[in-house]
Amino acid sequence: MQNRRFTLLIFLTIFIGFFVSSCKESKPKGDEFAWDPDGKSLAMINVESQELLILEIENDAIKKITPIDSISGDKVKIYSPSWSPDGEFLLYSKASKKTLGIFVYSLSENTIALIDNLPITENEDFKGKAFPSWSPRENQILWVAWNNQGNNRIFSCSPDGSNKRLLANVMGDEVMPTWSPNGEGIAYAIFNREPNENNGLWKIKNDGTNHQQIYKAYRIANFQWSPDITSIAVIHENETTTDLKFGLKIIDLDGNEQQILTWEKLEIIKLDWSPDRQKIIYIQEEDDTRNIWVVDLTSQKKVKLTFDNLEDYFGWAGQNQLFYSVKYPAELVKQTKDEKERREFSEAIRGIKKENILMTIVNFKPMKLDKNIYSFTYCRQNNASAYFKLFEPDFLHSIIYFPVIEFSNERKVYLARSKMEHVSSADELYLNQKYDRTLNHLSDYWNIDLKSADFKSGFDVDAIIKEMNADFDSSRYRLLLEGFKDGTLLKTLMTFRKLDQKDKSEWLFEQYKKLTFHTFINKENKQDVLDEVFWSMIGAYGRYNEFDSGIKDLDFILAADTLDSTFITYANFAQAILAFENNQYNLGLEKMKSSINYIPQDLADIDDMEDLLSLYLVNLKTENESLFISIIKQMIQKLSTNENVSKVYEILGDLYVKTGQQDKAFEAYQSAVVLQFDKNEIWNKLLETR
Amino acid sequence: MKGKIILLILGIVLICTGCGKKEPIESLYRDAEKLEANILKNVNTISQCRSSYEKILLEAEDSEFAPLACYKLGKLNEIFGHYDEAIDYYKKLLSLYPEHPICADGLLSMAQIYQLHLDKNEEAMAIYQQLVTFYPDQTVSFEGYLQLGQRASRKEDWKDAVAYFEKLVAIYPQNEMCDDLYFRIGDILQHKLEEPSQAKEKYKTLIEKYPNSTWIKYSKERLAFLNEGGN
Repeated sequence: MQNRRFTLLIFLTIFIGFFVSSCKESKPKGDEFAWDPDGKSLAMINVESQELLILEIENDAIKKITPIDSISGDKVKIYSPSWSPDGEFLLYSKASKKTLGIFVYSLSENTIALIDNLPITENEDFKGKAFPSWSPRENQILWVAWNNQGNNRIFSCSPDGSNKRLLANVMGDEVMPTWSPNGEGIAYAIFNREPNENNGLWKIKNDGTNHQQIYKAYRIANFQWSPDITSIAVIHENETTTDLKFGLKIIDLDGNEQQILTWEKLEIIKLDWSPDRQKIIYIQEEDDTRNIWVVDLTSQKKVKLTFDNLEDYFGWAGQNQLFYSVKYPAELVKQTKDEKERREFSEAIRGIKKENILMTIVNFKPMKLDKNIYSFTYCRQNNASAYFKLFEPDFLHSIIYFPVIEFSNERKVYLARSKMEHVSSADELYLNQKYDRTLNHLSDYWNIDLKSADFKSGFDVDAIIKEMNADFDSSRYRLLLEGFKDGTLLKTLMTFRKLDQKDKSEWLFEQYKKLTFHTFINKENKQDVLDEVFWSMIGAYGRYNEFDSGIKDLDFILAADTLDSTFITYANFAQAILAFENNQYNLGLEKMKSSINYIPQDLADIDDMEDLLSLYLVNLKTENESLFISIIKQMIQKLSTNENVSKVYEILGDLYVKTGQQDKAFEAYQSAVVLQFDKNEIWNKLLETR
Repeated sequence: MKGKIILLILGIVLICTGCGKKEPIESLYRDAEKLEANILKNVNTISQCRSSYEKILLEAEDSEFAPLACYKLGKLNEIFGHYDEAIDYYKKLLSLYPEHPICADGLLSMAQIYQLHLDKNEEAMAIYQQLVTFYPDQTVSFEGYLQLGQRASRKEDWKDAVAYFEKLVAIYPQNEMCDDLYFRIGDILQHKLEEPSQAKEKYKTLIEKYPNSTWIKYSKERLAFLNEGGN
């Protein structure tokens, strides 16, 4: 199976390079969404396109989308948008390979001001260097300007860059300046690797006066002001290597310890106060294992919320509600090689991928919410949430993260901008039986209103091919071919069928057939093209669970008069795959037989067929044994000159072992090793028959 | 002659003793063989049972039976001493089906494995804490409160111990241990926390609620002592 996927990857990378490059993996970091203070606007970074957008929200719907910025030139990533307290300005950072720019967008002026441009090294993770932040009570920005000598200068300024003021000059590797919730003070940490009496937590007034070290510690790993501004919770690391190296404490603003909450062997990486100041959560990490703990400050009792599987922590949603995600539990059931292959095959055909589970805890009741969610951000003001959903769009195993806004009425809006995001959104809606909305996203993909009568102009194959013959760069042709190859054309057809739009679906199917024939007629690399076409077809039917339709559609395509044997082989093989995945084993074997009946002797790549035969063998019933043997024998006869036929002999041997015919199995394995004598696995099987 | 008789008697005694030893050992061996045969007969059944649960988990992950199958797979592994695998199944249960009541049983089993088999008491206590926090009203959570109360007693965190035991008697008033716990709470309040009036309340409650308890006599004695101003 791995071999097959590898082969497919190569083919598809060549043929749809443009398409693949548009869906390169870009995993969300968790800072992509920012709700404005009254919940009426959402700033977001689209991870696929690296655009910064502002979405205006009204009555549980997106009223307007305004692109603010995007990467260009040597810029590589946009980070961490945040709103000013009055919602008038949006602060964000933009990194190139060498600098990190701090920008402020003014909504009323529609202008972008550059606040600072800081040196960074390539692939820097910015650990210990906080992104700029707004004062909670006025439009003042706080940021750290650094140099490579460890000199950090804490500045503040107005949103247009004026009133720039140096608040503190700090020597150290980490600073992390943080406003107090009322904006009157700023706390920051100093950390120098060599023990230094300045190491610890400091505070200053917002005008830069009254510097005061409030807590000495080798290293403050993280800290947070309490919501009532009476204290600061700190995670600090001991320089001595005792067992209990990491402490979580609450200290008052004069530096007196109020409460030691815990001492831990394992690293504590984050803390977060509950809004009512009654609890603190902290995250503990060891290698790949992370857990959330919650400490009740009154009883000092701590409870672990996760089971060594925390993926992301998303924060408090109220006094007693938390959001986080856990890794999808690893497969525990021991599976044989055959079973594992069967499962992988099925997941590939249906485009299923499971990575994590979004969880919430309300009053200590854990609940599962959804799968494959990243950067979940909840807005208390409008009870809406924004997040990215991971989607594996096809058997190509490319991954995209597409943005979703979920409103209080549980309506989900898939905020697709790129073609891939439109396909992903369409898939999600189709699988949730929301076919009308599926069509909207497909319309955006095709840049044509599929609900209008003149939608045909985008799919009229004869006209579009004629256009392409006149102009090789025809954009209509390129889009149609791209949609054909990535399965979107079929998905459009299936959506019309679900909406009972018979005229449209029948007409589109005719176009689909024409395009299918067009793609391989007179092509030199016919086998490669067919491989690509039929696998994308299988992927589309598989993703939408439309196996019966797939088999039926292919029957119609096969009914054409002028088909060559290679085409018939591939079409029947595709049907055999769809039938197998639909548990129609008998039908599938019949299709397999038809496929092999037409198999051209020069067919180079028979790996996929052999893999499918192996899968059929695992699920073979007694009544199908003779049909299976006839398929194998026919394949051996047809492909006698192909060295890969060794694998077919091996499958035959496996069948005989399964049916207890050891002598025949020996003969089959013997034929296999003669063709490929370096295959240890076959030798082992051969010897085991004795 | 006398010597010969003595030797003969000794010989007979030795033979008898030897036979006496051989018989029960052989019968022990034969019994073990029979048990082994029974086990072997059941091996296939166990394997089939496991496969069926696995099939449910693999093929119908979202069905109502999946959480139960996941728990049972943990239990099967636990029975056969595969503790790490059992814990993995319980963790999977808790991650995939946190709303299902069987999760409380999963947490209890996991805590007991850490406590009784893996000698990891702190981990066990953390899990008992999860059990009483996430599933406070489940019957199996009784064991969680009890373990946490006993640990608090061992650490002489008397206030905590009283809090856990009081939770127990409040949530499970019908449990047969409640009278023991009332006396234990009264005892801690009287002697460790030096709260005689609160201790009196506990002894009184015990006498009123559990008139057939074996603690009645002692409770009355203590009550009388406290009423006389003792502590």
